Amino acid sequence: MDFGRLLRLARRRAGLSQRQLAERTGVAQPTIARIELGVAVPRVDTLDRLLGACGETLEVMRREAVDFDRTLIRRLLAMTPEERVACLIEEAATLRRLDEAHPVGRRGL
Amino acid sequence: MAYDPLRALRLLQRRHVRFVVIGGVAARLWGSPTMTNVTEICCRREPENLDRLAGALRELGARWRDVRDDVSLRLEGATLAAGENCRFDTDAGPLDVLGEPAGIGGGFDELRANATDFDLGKGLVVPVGDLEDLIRMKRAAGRPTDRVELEVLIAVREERDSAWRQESTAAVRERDDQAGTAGDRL
Repeated sequence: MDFGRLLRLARRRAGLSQRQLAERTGVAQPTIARIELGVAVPRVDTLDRLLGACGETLEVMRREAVDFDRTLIRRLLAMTPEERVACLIEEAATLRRLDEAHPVGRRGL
Repeated sequence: MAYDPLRALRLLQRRHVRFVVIGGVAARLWGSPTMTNVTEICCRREPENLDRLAGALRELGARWRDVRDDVSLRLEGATLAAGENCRFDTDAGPLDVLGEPAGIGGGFDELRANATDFDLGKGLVVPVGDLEDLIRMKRAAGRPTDRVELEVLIAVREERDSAWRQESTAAVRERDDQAGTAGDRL
């Protein structure tokens, strides 16, 4: 998980500067800056305190598909955005052809 | 009606519509392998922008998707302003326009502030909702299909972060190697 990005977005949503967040939580502003830059990894209770001051919280959720096959994600991440959309359009066309297909010699299926 | 999100997005851009790409197309741009055939956008709700959106929709031959055929609704900014979420079939495939996406309290302005511009080639650069915001939207929607896609988006985030870490580690190693080589020369 990218804690820095998570915190930065939460702080922005709350309309707080790093200095204001530091004043509210007692966590030094340079420390907040280091967490947001990804240079420092916060302890869970520190992150919870920082997020709490932004009006958000850490939540534990049950993962439904931890064993999710990630090979397609990795393949897509290796592509440019243009190529990712091109794949999507091609897939949609394939799906459309599959939708229109019917067993040879049979009707009404 | 061939699905062509690029055509729809290009037209919106040409008409100067202020929008952010969300939904399945945004998820794909971040790396989700989930298939979609709907282009979803969130639009700024100011009257001038909705007028521009209505113009773009008319040019795309848009028909209201969830309005009965015997109900006549004109495609104008004022009509779009009356409904939060509007769904259309267009000549470029289904196009859904959301005013207030679930889970994003600040609506368009918040989405736009967090969005990343993606270059889709041939001069088409569009703002795409941040991956964290897409995750928030899925979490807030809470339907079974959304929970499945939520898992996919979380996996995408983990893979992306892992790739970033590898890239930055490689960059640091390369820099250190270069510094070492320079040191050897001294």
